[in-house]
Amino acid sequence: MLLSVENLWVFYGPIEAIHDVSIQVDQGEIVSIVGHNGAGKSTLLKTISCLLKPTAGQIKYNDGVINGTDPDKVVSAGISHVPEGRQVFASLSVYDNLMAGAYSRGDADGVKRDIDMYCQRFPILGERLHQRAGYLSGGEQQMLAIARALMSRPKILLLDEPSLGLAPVVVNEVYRIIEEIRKDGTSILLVEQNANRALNVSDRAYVLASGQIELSGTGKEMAENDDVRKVYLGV
Amino acid sequence: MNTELNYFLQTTSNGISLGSMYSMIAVGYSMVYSLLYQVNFAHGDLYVFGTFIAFSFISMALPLPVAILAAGLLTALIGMTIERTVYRPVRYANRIVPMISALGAALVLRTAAQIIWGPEAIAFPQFLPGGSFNLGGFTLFHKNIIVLLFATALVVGLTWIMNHTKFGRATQCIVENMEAAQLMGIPLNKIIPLVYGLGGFFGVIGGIMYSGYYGVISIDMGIWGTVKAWAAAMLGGVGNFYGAFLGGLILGVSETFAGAYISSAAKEALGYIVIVLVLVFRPNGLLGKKKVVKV
Ligand SMILES: Nc1ncnc2c1ncn2[C@@H]1O[C@H](COP(=O)(O)OP(=O)(O)OP(=O)(O)O)[C@@H](O)[C@H]1O
Ligand SMILES: [Mg+2]
Repeated sequence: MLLSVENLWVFYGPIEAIHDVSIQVDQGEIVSIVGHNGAGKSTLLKTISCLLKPTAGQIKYNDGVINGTDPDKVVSAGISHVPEGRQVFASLSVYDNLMAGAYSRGDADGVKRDIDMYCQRFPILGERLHQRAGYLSGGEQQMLAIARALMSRPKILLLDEPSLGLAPVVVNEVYRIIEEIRKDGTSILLVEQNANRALNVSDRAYVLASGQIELSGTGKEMAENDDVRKVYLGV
Repeated sequence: MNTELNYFLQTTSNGISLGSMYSMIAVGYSMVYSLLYQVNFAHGDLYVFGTFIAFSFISMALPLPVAILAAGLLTALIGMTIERTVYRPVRYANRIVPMISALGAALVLRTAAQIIWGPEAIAFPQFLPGGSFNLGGFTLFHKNIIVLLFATALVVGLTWIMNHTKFGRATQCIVENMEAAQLMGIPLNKIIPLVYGLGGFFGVIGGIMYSGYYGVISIDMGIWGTVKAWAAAMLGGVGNFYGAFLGGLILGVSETFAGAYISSAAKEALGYIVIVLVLVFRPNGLLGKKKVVKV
C-alpha cells in the first residue's frame, strides 16, 4: 500500500468537512475521487498534504503515519500536490516556478536536467521559461503547475480538478499527460467534478458526497453504475 | 560661490544622507512588510534596541566592525524571537491581531531599553570619518558619501539575495502564495524567522549609521523610525527594495528641504503627509506591485 487514509475526520471549526473517510492508493494506480461542489474533495487532499490537521483518523504513507507532520516533510517523503486553480507563482518566471518545485532537492545537476526535460515535454514552458508565469494561459498554467509538482520527483501526485475551466482540447492534453505520468511510475490521486474523464482513466474510484464516501469500485464499474451516471455524469 | 547656491547644495547633500539612512531602515522594514503586508510596529523599537546594543559594545571598546556585526546578529536573534512569540501564534488570525501583538512587542522592547540604557537621549560615538572635500565653497563631507555608498550596497546586496539564493526565492514564493509555497516543500517555520532576522539585522545597520552620523541615540527614535520606514517603504512600493531605497531618499531629501526652506515643524510633519498621500493616491507605491490585500 502506497497511501492509505483511515477513518479520517476533518473539521473547519464547528463545520464538518470530512466524515469518517477511508481510501487507498496502490503503487502505480490512478485513483479518482469524484463529487460535487463542496463535497470535501479539496479538504481531503489538503489534509493528506498536512496543510490541514484531521480531528481523528490516520494517513499512512509507505506504512508510516504522516498526519501531524509539516507539509515540507510530506513533500520530501514523495507526495506532491497540484492545488485547485493551479496557483502558480504568477509574478515569478516559469523557471523560478520550476525551481520552487525542486525546493526539497539537493541535486542541482539533476534539477537542471529535469527542467530541460520538462521544457521538451511541455514546449510552451521552454519557450516562456523566463517570462512571468502569470502571462501564461489557463491551460499553460496547468501544465506548469503539473511540471512544478513533478520537480520534487514524487512517488504519488495529488491532482485537484486539473480540468477546471479548460477548453475540451486542453482537457484532452491534460489527461494524456496524466496517463504518461502514471506510465513513468508515479501513482496518482485525482480529484474531479468532471467525473466522465476521471473515471475513464482511473483504475479505481470513490464517490464523495457531503464529506462521506458513498460508493467505490473500479473506474469501469463506476462509469457504468446507473446512480453515478445519473448524478455525476448527467446521462 | 553664491551663498544661495551653496545653501541649496548643502541642503541637498544633507538630504541625501538623511535619505540614505531612511533607506537602510526602510529596506529591512520592507522585507518583513512584504510578508506581513501591514505596518510592523515592532521594527522601529527593534532596530533602536539593536543600536543601543551596538552602543554598549562600542563603549566596551570592542572594535567597531565586531561591535556592529555582533549587535546586528543579536538583533536578528531578537527579531526571530519576536516572530516566534508574537507573530507565529497569530499567523492565520485576522489582520488586526498581529498588528496589536506587534505593538505589545514594541512596548516590551522600549521598556527594556529604558530600564537598561535610561530614558534620556545619549551621545553615540561618531565613528564615521570626519574629512571633507571643498568644492568651491561647498563642503561635501566624506560621511555624506559613505552613508550613500553603504545604503546602495545594502539594497543591491539584499536584492541579490532575494533573486539568487534558495532562501530568497523561497521567500518570494511565500510572499506570493503561502499555501502553494508549502506545497513546494518550503518550510515556513524556517524561512519566515530568517526574514525577520534579516530585517532586524539590516534595520540595525541603518540605525547604527544614523546614530553614528548624528552622534545621538534615544528611545524615541523607535516609533519615529517605524513611521519613517513605513513612509519610505510605502512611497517606493512594498516588497520592492529599490522602491524602499528610492522612497527613503525622496523622503530624506524632501524633509531636509522642508526643514531648510520652510520650518522644522514642516520637516517633522512631512513623513505623515507622505503616508496619507501615498495611501490615498498610490497605494502600491511608486515601484510597487499590485497585490490584493487580504482583509
Ligand atoms: N477554509 C474553510 N473554512 C470553513 N469551511 C470551509 C473552508 N474550506 C472549505 N470549507 C467547507 O468545507 C466543505 C468542503 O469544501 P471543499 O473545498 O473541500 O470542497 P470541494 O469538494 O473541493 O468543492 P469544489 O468542487 O467546489 O472545489 C464545504 O462545505 C466548504 O464550504
Ligand atoms: Mg475543491
